[in-house]
Amino acid sequence: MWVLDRPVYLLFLLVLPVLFYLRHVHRWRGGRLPVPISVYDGAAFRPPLTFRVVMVRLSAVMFWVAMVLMIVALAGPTRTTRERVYLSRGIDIMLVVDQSASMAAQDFQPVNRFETARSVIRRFVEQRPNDHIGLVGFSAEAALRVPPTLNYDQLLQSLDGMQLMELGDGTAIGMGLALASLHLRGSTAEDKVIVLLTDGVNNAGEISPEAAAEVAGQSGIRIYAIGVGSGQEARIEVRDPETGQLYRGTVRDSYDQTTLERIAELSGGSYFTAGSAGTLEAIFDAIGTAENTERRVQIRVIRRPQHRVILMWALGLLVAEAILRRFLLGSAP
Amino acid sequence: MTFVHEQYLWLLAGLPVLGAALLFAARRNRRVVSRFVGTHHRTEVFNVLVVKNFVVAVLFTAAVASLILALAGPQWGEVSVEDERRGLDLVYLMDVSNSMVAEDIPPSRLVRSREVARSVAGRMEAAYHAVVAFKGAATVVVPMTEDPVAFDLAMGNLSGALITTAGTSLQNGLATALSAFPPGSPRHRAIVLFSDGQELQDAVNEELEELRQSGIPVFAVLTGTGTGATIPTGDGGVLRNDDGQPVIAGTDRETLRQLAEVSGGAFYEIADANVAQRLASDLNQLSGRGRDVVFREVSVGRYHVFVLLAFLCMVGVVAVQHTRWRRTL
Repeated sequence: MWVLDRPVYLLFLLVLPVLFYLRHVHRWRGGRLPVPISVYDGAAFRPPLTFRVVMVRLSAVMFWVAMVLMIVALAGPTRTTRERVYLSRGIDIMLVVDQSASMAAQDFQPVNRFETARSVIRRFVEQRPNDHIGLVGFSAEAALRVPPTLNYDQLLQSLDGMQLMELGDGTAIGMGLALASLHLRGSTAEDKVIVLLTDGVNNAGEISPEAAAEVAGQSGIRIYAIGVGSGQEARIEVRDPETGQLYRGTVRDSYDQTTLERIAELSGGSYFTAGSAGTLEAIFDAIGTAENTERRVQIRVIRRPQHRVILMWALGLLVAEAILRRFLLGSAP
Repeated sequence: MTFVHEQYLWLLAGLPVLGAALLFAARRNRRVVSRFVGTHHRTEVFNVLVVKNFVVAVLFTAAVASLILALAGPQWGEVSVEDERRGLDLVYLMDVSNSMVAEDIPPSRLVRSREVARSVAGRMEAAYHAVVAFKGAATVVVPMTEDPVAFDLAMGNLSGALITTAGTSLQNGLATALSAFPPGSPRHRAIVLFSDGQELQDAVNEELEELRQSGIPVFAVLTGTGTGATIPTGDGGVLRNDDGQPVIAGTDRETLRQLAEVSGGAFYEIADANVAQRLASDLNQLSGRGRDVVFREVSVGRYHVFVLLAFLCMVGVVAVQHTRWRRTL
């Protein structure tokens, strides 16, 4: 929205007609030497529309536009935008996502488990404007992608950059949970949550999932463990990002339900089974509802003055008018 | 009086040219009028013409000068603005260009910058931190977070290898730093810039304007000494120019000082042993130490005074040009 900081200066616009009269209309105005070229009381003639006449009129237009722009700049044109400021602290959420090869199983439409998880997470993030959300990826190893942050652009960019098998081949659930807990340790949020998304059995890493969950629970972090997969045989197609080699085949492995239930139980969280893309989305909706917090919002108005561009035009037009009128047309003074 | 966009003041150098041109135009007017009026009222007409030309030239030049000064963003005086924020979002804007490996600040400019940044972060318990590295391009290394582990890891890994684009673009750095502040944050915001200011490639007008309007001060830390130092290449040698002479990495104290001053921040030198303590103290003061409402001193922009002056001068120009004097001209 546009506003004026000093609208009273617009009253100067009333001066312009007087000046216009003085400069262009007044019969006895200065700066010109009238020469009678018609008979008394007879019909005069109009000068032809030559290039010079056009330039004279153009210089006049430039002058008056510059004067109007100066008055507009004086009035302080400002563009305002409104920003929602969250006065209450949201919760901290770490998303721990399995990047093992089996996540390429095509039993989730339209592409595979991993792409479904990616799009569901994206929607989940977009619906939580005031929660600090972080991202950990794991397969044979675990790596922090983004610490808990409100900078969702960075988070989603990192989510889009995740590739299957980039952390090796394996499933180190315990390492992923431990890393997520570590990065939630310094948080001052009242509620801290880990959302674990995996389709496999813990078969890598030096920390067991149960031990990691216990530590998380003791730190006041709840874990929502989601087992992904239809449980049926599914086609798989995955390219190793390191070697570029394409693997094709079928997968029948399923997640370790007992371990996931135990993880949720030890940390005071919940366990969910996602057998399809729709179910996974419903689970994230349920987590979103369960972790709803009160939001106190203030609207802040951001003001961006716009006078500089207007002043540049005014200055340019004034100088151009002077050059045109004084030097090219030879007007005096 | 300070100016937000000092570079516009260079336009004032064109005023003598404008004055000379107006004088030239006046002489030409005199010749033309002389041919036109002949000897009839010649002296009287010339007297009026000279005075009118002079007054119009002075008023017009004054109007142009006032507009240039208005464009430069003059500001003087300060006003207290109520700022209802709590806590602090801090972006550490780290220069990782080649000159930052110079060793005039031991062990090197960059390593010392990392140490000071860590020390400051350690003293700012309630603050959120983000790390942005810049060279020819800039990147967010760590988004705004409360997580001290991520911050520490990022600082430890900060090096010139993070960015491949050569050069030092403070403009890109500031733009990326501004984007690192999450929207909707209720905390105060500040940028801590570590740079030697060496070979900054571009002006930062728009970013500076954005910083000023958003009330984001830049606390600039000059990393380097006035004498400068050679740039180690890692193989035991030093960086040399095309003539085979060692390249000396100097510092640009003025650029950083001006950036800090105009944005409402402060300027420090990394050679100062208490730099981390002073910086943390100033930042704590900015955040209001947890109070809900603090009052921020903001410089008052006064461009409209000069625009008003320019407008009145132009009204004067019209009045002088088009009021008939002594029934002659």
